[in-house]
Amino acid sequence: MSQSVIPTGSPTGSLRARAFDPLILLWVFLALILIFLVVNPLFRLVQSSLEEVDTGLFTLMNYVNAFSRPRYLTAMWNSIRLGAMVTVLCLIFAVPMAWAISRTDMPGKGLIRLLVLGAFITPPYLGAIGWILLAGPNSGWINRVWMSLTGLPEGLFDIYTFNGLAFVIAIYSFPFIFIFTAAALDVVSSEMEDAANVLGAGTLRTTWLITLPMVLPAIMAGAIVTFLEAIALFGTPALIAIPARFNVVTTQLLQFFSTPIRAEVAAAYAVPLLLITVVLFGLQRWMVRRRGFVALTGKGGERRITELGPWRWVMFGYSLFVMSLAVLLPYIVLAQAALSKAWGRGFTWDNITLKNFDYILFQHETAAQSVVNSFTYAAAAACIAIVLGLAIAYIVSRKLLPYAGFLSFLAMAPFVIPGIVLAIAFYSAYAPPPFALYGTATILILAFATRFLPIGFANADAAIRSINPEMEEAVRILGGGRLLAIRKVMAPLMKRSLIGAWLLVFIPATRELSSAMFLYGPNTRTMSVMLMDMSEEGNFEHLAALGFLLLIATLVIVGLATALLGRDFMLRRERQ
Amino acid sequence: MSMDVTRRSVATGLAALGSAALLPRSASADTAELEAAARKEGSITWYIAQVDSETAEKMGRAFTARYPGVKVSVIRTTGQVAFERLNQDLKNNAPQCDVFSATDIGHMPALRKRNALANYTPENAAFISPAFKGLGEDGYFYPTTSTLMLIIVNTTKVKPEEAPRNWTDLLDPKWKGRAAFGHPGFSGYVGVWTVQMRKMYGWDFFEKLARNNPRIGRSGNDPISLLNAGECVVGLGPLSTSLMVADRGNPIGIVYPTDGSVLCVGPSAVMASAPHPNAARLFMNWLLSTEFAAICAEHRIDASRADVPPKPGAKPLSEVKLLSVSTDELIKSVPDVIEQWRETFS
Repeated sequence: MSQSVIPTGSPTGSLRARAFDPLILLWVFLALILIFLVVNPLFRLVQSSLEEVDTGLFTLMNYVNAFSRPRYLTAMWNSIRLGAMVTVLCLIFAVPMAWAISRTDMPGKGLIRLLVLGAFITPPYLGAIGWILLAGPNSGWINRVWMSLTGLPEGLFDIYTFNGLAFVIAIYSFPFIFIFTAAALDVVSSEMEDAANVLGAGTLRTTWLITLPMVLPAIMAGAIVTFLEAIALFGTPALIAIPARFNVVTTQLLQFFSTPIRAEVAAAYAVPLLLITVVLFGLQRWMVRRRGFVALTGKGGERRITELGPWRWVMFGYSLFVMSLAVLLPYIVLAQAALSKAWGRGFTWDNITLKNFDYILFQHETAAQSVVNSFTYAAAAACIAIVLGLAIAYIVSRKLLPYAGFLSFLAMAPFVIPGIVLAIAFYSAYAPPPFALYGTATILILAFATRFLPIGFANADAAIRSINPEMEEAVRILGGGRLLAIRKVMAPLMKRSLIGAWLLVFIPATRELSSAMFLYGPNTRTMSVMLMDMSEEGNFEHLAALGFLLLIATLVIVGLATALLGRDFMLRRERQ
Repeated sequence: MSMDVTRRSVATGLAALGSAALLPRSASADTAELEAAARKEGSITWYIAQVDSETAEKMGRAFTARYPGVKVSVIRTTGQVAFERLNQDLKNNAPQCDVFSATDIGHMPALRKRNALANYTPENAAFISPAFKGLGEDGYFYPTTSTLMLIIVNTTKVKPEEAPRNWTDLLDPKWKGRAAFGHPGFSGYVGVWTVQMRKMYGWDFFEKLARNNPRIGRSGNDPISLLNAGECVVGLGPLSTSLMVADRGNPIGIVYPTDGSVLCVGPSAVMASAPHPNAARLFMNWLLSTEFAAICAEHRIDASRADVPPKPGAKPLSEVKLLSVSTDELIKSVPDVIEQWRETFS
């Protein structure tokens, strides 16, 4: 397909650049930021895992303590199983929906996109509370309906099980894969599908053999993020795994922080998670390399919609089913709590009130401020993570620095470090002088940016991989500098996926709990910390009201962003 | 819940106390000096795990209202996070915390051993109720808040005459799968309760409990939510949160067990490295004042002085059969019972 005479990776274009490319300084600068944000905290983590607490002497005992008990190893194994199961469920939920929305004539696309956004905004622990109310074995609404319909003494679902936990995590994690996949499908042209059709392949066969493989890098990136998110999540396992009496890595880590506190053992316990990241990375490389190709070329390929006929209603039904599990049902239950004087009294007319909203909005001393804090910090963190992620992905894909592959590992590593462990590393590295970031907004923003850098990076990486370097090389052959190529060619091509990526960092950052809990100061409390406080007090009326306000506020922000940017990403209704 | 209501009830509480309220006012020269020095320092940082953040903020503002010019920076987190933050501060030699209010009694002796606590005897320590004797270390740390671990029931599902009366009633097979507990590995207060139960009934109590397949949450408050949802109908809960939730109209009832309610205290201390040593001491003394006790009563928490009556629905501590475990015994036994718990319940 390429009409360019310069083959990819030719040294011709870069000889001149090698001589004096001042950009190398910029790359080095970015690499230094990465060292500040990722390497130093990680180094401290590894260091404290190798030290005796009081003396600071070298020891391996922390590792012995962390891995000598079968119970601890079981928790590790449970997490890996959990991550795998969640990833599979998310693929089943997300990929068909993403395909249906991006490539078919399924009805109700706007509604489904809005609901996916709703699922993504929902803090996982809020959703988990909703599902405990829906599928608690004795009192869950679904179970009570089932029991009264069938007359059976036992309910249909028990949320307090391993499968229940995987399910609840999956329905709030699948938007990662959905958004990655949909964004990639949106830019794949139909030429190759047409070719398959011409050669006699049906819709299903074409989709399976042509369309999906083309977006495999995006799906893989989404799956990795999902897997890592699932094993690093704390809130949901705390609500479900503990009553179900099994441990995962994060609940086990919390036990290391109960008396007697063994932070150094926790560090040792967390270090192997880095190995998991390395393995996943290798796996992704290997899979993508086997099918290396570039889907987005400079030629404005046509993108056509697949007509599904009656099947479009089936797809719509499936999407709506998944979304009722994730959004509609839990929010009905939460609405009951938010509108109740006392949620334990259930649905009665004299129990309905709007006072909880009034309280959160106008009477609570810190609620409004904490909402503003969360959104500001999340927005700042998202900008940092995207710029940094993009820069690293670019360096890596164009091999601008030696050992660039190592940079990509560093960019992915923070995700697998449980929030609390990352936060402790951050706190000990940057709270005291000389940085003296104690209690500042900066330390929270940097921590959020670091924590979600992998999302920014994975997205930027997928976006860059899907763009044929020949377009950029064309600019450079014609005498344009690298920055010009980035600005005029890469940026416009990647605009949509980068805005998507920004949201992908912004939204989880607004709901980030485990690192905020450790790093906030007197004036920097975030909403997630407050939600946690309320759930600890059993204050579900206010918790649910705040959850609703959070949902509405985020929808407004996303809506505004969409309107400003020409409604061309998540909420886009129909293609032009 | 608004500020006005609190101020008013604090004022009423103080008025009702008559002469007792005058005691902190008859400040000695020492206190006046301390006040002046505190004002010069201008603020204190309070690491607190004992109450929720809204209440903690309210307490901080009440202190500033009482001592204008001394601002309180509230860092409210769970007990373990607060303690780990404190450890990091100490390790990095970057002290932030002036006064530390813990939920886990074990944290204080650990800090004491490292000479991290300031030697200070607040004037108001003299008014600590006898029930709290032996639960602090004079001159270093003192109980400032407390609550009782007792039996809670869902009042729509359990008739008063069917409700359990003592702890062993919870072992009745009729509660199979419907009784809720916290986890001693996650909640300091559940740890205290577990040690007390083992002392009274032996570990056999928990073996029998396990056969009844109870629902085990994480924090001491989790059972309240499980009862409120109707998932369980009886359980173990802290008096303070149970009554807060019930005050909103939820079907949560409390039972003072005939064999005793378990007293769980939250100790406070001034840090040796406190950046605002005078303000810290003034604040520590205030945590033992009637004004502080009145705010606690408003939020269903028991302060460590006995001269402020609780709100209706709770008994004054003097009328409750109390079970309390000494600090030394807790430090020795809690890790044991956590291990035993994990053996029995997993």
